[in-house]
Amino acid sequence: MNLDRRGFIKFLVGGAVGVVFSPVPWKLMDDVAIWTQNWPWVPNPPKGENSFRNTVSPFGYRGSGLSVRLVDEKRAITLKGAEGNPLNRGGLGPVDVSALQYHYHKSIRVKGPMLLKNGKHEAVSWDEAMNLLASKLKELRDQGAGEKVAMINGAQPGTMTDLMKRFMTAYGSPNYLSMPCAYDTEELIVRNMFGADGTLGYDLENADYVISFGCGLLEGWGSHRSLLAYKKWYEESDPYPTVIVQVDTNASTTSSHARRWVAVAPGTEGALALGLAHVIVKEELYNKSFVSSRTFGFDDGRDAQGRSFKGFRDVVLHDYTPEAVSHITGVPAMQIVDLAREFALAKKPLALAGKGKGNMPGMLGEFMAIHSLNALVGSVNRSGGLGPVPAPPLTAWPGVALDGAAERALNKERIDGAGTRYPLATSLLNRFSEVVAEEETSPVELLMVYRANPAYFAPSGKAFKEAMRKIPFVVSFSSYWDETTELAHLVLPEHSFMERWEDGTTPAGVPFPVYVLGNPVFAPMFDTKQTGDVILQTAKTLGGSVASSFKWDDYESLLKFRVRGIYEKQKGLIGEPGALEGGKGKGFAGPDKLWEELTAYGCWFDPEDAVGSGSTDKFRFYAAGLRTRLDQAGRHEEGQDSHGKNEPVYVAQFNEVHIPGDPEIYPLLLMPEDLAYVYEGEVPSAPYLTKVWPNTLLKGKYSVVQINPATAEDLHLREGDLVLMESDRGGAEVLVHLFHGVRPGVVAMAEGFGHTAFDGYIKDKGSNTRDLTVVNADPLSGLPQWWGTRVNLTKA
Amino acid sequence: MNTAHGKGGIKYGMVIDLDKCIGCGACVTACVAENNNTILQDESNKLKSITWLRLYKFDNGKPYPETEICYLPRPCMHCDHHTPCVSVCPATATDYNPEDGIVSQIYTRCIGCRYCVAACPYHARYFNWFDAVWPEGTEECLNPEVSPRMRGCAEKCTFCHHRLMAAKNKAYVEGRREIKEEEYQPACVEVCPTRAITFGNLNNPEHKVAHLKESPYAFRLLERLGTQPKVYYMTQREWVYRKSDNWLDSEWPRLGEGKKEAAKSGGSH
Repeated sequence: MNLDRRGFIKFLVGGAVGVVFSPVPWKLMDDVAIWTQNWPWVPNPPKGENSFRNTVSPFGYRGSGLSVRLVDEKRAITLKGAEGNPLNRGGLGPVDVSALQYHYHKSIRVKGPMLLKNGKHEAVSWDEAMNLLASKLKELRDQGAGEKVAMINGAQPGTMTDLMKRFMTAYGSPNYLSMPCAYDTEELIVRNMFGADGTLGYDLENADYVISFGCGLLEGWGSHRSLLAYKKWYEESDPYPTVIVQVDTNASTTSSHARRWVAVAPGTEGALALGLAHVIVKEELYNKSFVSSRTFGFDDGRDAQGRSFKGFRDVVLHDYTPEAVSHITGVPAMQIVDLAREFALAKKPLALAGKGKGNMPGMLGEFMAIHSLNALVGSVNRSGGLGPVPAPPLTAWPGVALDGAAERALNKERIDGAGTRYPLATSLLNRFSEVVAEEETSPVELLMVYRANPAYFAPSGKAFKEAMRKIPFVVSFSSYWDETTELAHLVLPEHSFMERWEDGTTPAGVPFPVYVLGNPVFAPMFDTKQTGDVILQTAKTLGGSVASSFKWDDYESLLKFRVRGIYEKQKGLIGEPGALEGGKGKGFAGPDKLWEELTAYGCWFDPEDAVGSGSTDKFRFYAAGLRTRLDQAGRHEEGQDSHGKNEPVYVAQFNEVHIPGDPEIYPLLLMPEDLAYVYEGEVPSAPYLTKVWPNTLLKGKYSVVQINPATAEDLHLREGDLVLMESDRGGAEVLVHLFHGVRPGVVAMAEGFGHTAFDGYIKDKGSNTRDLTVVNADPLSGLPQWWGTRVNLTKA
Repeated sequence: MNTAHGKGGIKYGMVIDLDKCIGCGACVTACVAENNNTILQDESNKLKSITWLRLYKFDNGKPYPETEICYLPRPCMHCDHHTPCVSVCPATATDYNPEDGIVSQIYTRCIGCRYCVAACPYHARYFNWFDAVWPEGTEECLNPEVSPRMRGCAEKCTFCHHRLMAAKNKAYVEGRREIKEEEYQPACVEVCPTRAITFGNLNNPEHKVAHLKESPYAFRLLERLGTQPKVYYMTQREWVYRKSDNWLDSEWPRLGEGKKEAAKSGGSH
């Protein structure tokens, strides 16, 4: 066959047309597209059967019930809220949703016991590590120097916290410290004003007029129930049946969702509360029957010890006129009067205390003022009000056996001066850091750190790091390579929350007794141990009276021992689906059955013991207990009133806080800001949370601080400028964001950034506020305060 | 394309109450976990970060102390009319499903031209510039129902379409033709602590969303573009509503007016 030129061209054209109209090119293109995208390194998560299992979150809103979705019971995929848990009722906060990353994020976890040798952490066996700890402890105890052992515990209230305290007592060291938080102040209030022990519960859901004095009600204050309350207030009817008033220096999520935002000068919330009290007393709007029958100290009088005192009425009428309070707070006098009237005339008014998420102790005078305001309107121990919540009926701990060595050491003064130099405080981590850092040789030989990351999050973090370098032997029980663990000599890593037993008693602010129990969903991924077991084992190795105080075989049997108390009481409900609508408990068939149900649903609660159902204790406007404590310690000056008169005042008062630093050099005030989607404390924000952060919070390696445009104009700064922020403690390079919601003269900066440990998902993002903040003491209680630090901004 | 289904058809949609939303970000984290979004070491680079459900924060710009802030969670709007991304996709990698109103994304079909990313007026579409990465070890908790994406393809919120498939399968096995409201809820809706997000069939009067979208306080973003998003927002705050579109200074929209406009344009909502 001859192929001429014409024929050849015909063939080419025909072929081309044919190919174009055939599916070949399209099929090939599709194949190429698929081939180029089907890369083997893209993970292909294996499918399997879905199942759900309940446990409890120890992060974020502690105690929230988690329903873990498992695939083939091997891999946990996602978390949702457990329906029957009365704290979160199926919802979850952002930190709790991200919690799985604290289990799976391998590169930040400690994979086995580690010992620091020649400046490097090296793996050791558990036997070696635990023997080393026990021998160090024994050596110090044998030398009669038990007080040279200190412990910092950041765990939630529950069996682990009790166990740690008990260990320190049995061992014989007074130096047990906790991470500072609002509970430190609340504890003083509950004991001295409500005459009870335990936590303070707020019946938010039934309140109809809520004044929040600086609380981050929607940013993490209290428990997850704050959000449930907000939901209920919002849904009840249209529009907003419950009035929320937010008293705060800067605009926040809560202030934006409140009916009204009352902008006060920094640190003057307590004065405003007293101003409201003044109007309510003066206009006789207070609940007279409640005040006369169920309070003590409203009028001048004498206490049980025969000491005369000035009553609350006199103090507020004399010192806190709307004009005087307006001068302190910057709130117009007329607004104070209106607010007071509205509050007093509401059916179920409620005032809330505690700054932000409650990561900082409050000022005692401010808390006293706010709760006196609650008592004035009769909101104490009633539905829609607040009051002390009884502890869940766990089996009481048997007495601790103390030998001579322990008794002698326990009678020695604490390193931080709590209880002696600072008679009202029980633990002062900031003083501890300062004392250890200042001394030539550290008064602490051995420091144990559990569920806390003080090298990052202690107030005056730099002082703590200095102190840590001086302490010859630091033991960390952390599951993660956090800042503290990096500096520790011995690391005895705990299981992750998905691998361990963990219980907790009533979280902050919850108005009824709650007991939560998290269970090990998985076997341990690494060579880790339940710290409860490590402590029990160490006590046994120490022998003698220490061993005899810890007779349980393991931590699980200790938990069963404690839970038996709930069975014996036969009260309350298991947090299973439907329990919330149920009402009364039906009792429990047997201790094993109760344990089984608790493990399955993770929660026990008793709505019958809710705030307003029992206690008729009198509310004390006049806190005789505080006075007794200060008298015993020979310290009268703490009780001075704000005018510096020598007459001690033990009713609520406003003490102006002197913030150290020269305003000429440091003209601005740095205020740390708490946000719902940033987690600070024991663990950093999980990588999921970084997705939520706007660029007005973090940009690359820089934290973004917020200042008012007026402040920016004074300083000749513009949006996005890189500035150096300096305080007496140190400096940090930050970016500037202009935001009208920040009070002129104030710099707002979010907490929880600037980690120097962990991996690239967490490390070197922004700056840590706590490296800059200057801590000063609350004039009344000595508890640390760092809501305001003088700083300066200069263009970098 | 939206003519294929009549008034009684299924159209999944969402109503987000911005006054009830507290901007906690639980929805964002739940979405990331459910849908295997990649996580970069620097998520503050918003040009590279992938966030199917992004949380925006804005304020009313008023001077201290009248400043207010608002958070706005933004999923894919699943536009019902001339869906912009669907209109421009040359590879039919994104499609509007007339059976349920969900705008899909087929990763293996995507040729990475990014027309859809440019076309979406809501910035709801994201492009995988890099290979998927997760913090070491967290690949273990990837969701097997959602395929992780590869470099070079676009992606977006699917209203957790895999959950619809699962619910449909369950109904089929049980011999039902319809799925109940609570059987199909996206991850963001399920987790929201204040229940600010409601989800369901906009055309089914028994579903909550059908009533909520009729509220005088309901509106949609950039409503005047006529894309008829199936994500509605609600607010009683005038200033928040004013942020919903690029209004001229001479325009003074009032809450509720957006609804009238939508009715005039003949949409079935």
